[in-house]
Amino acid sequence: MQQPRIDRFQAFVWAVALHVAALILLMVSLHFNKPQVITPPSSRVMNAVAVDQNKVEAEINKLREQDQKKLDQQKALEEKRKAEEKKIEDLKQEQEKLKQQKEEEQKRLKEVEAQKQKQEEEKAKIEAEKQKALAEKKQLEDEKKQAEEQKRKAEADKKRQAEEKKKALEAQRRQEAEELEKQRQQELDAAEKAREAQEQAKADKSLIDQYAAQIKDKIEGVFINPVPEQDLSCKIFVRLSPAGDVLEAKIVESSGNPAFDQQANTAVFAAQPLPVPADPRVFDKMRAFNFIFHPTR
Amino acid sequence: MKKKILLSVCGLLWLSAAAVGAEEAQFDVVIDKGVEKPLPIAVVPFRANDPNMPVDVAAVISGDLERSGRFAPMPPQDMVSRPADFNEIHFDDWRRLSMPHMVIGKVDAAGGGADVEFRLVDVYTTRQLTGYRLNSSPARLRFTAHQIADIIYEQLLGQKGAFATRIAYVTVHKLAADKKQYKLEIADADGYNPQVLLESPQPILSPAWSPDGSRIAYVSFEGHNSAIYVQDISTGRREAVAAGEGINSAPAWSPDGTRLAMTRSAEGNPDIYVLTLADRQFQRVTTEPAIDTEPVWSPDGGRLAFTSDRGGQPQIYEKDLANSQVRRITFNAGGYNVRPRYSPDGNMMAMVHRDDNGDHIAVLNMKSGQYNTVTSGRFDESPSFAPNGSMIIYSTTGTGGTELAAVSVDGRVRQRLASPAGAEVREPAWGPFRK
Repeated sequence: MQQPRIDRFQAFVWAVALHVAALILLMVSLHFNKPQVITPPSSRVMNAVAVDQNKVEAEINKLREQDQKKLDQQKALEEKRKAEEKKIEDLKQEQEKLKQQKEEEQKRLKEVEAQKQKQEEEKAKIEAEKQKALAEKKQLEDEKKQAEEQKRKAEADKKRQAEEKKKALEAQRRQEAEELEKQRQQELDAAEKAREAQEQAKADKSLIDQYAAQIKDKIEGVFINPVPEQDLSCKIFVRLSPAGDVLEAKIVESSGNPAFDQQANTAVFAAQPLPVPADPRVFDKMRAFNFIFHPTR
Repeated sequence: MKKKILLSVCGLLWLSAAAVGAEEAQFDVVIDKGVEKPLPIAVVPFRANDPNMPVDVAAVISGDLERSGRFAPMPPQDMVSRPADFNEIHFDDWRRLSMPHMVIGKVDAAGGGADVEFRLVDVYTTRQLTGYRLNSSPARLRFTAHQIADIIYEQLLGQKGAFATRIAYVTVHKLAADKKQYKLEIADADGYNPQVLLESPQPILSPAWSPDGSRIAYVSFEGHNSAIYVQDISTGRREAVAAGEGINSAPAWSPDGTRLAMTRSAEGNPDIYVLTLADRQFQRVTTEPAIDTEPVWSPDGGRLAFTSDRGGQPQIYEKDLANSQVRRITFNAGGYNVRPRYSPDGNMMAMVHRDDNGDHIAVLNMKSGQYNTVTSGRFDESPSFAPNGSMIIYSTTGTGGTELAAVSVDGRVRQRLASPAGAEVREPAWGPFRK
């Protein structure tokens, strides 16, 4: 109940604050929009004067001439001092001249030196370029050589590989042929064996069938169906000894009539020994089988 | 009857041995026929701790089994040994004799009683198939032996035995040229232990067992007129339930034991009537002008079969009690058929068939219509099924007079039954299973 009121109050405060903020922003922006006077920075333009020796001299001369005029005007006053001054001046001049000469000489020397250095640099540059060119040339040559070598090698490899492949192919072909021959021989042998086995199996089967028929006759000669009026059947698994004795007789499917099962089982034992082949290989194929007792009425 | 199953340790051993060695069957051999012959069995004379026992139990068992025609018991003199306990059996000896089954046992007499213990053993598997110890007494030893024969029969043939049952019959003693004595008797199914229920100078006919085996209905001419009596076997109390003028004959119990079907001529013509025992009310079932007689109930109680000459000569007819439809059952042109009896399962009907060679017992398969004459005597009469349906008892008259015989339902085995000397035995009726 109270929560919404507080929310409303807060909302009101926020609204007021928002309006104040908006007003301040508006004023500030108004102030910003006022054109502003930009005071250019005090410029001190330097009149750059190129210092030229000739120009300096000319200026000096000019100054000298002006000085002469002044001297002429002051000739009277300063005749004596003039000589001395002249002498000092001369000396000064001479000194200046010497200095100038020296400076020039130095400048010249500097220039020569610069020239020389420049030449040397040029020379070094040329030499470097030459070296570089040489290196490049060498590299190119090397690369070319390498490429050639590689090419040669590749060709050799290719040739070798081709030869190896050819050899391998030949070997393979030879092996395949051998295997084919071997296989063919094996198949022939297998077919022969299979044919023999088949014949053997056929012979065995016919033999087993004969014995099975004898066993059937023997069992049917002793089986007494206790309930001939009923249509019953049971399955008995038997295991025989090589002498034809029953090692195991197990009713695996009952007829549902214990008396019938009992007499079927009895018949299996009563018919002992059951006729079995003397050949152990053939006997192996009939050591375990099922009797299905299902007398038909 | 109290029974105790004996432990069969050998059987268990055999089973566990058979479980070893799993192998695949390599082929199947189908046995689609066998031999029709009795099962060989050796019932070894039982060892008794008292040499004065009145009954040779093994001999009674052998006799029962042999009489059924389904067993070929070994003569005791052919036995190489006489084991009485399982561990005394030398199985190889019995195998050499091709003897697949043997029965061994003991009689322990003590304090006036005589317990009988027996085991039925499979010689080839050396397994005990069944075994019991039964409480008995010297006086009941025969009955106990019949019970054992029943157990063996059921174990090996899958069908209840009917040895421990009784039969009823009528004996006729010729006392003088014109004087006869008639006796209604009951005895064990093998003819032993006869017990006289009624003696009369007048003929006694048609004994019939009540379904519970407690009473016998019969016809007596003692009042110089035929009357039907019902007599309680244990008390001897009897009661005439149908008497009066004319014929009162051929009583037959309904399967529920509440009614008797019979022949009466109270209304002039011999017809089939049904008497309700509770209220003594008669209900006439046939009304043909021909003679209708010898009624018998189907096992389900829904039909009555009877003999009638309505077709010119005696043949067997059947009346459906629900819809009163009558159908003729036998059609032999060359002879006649009388005295029908349903087999206990209702699938077959035994009857007396007369042809040029005399009267024989015949069996009709009610389903297939196949009709077999199962006896070849000249005067074979009164067929009656054993309660398990395996045998038919009947009377036969030969040079030695009239005596009882039993024949298997398929006619393969016929046996004469023990008969009292100097008497004719007729009208046998095989009693129900004893509870």
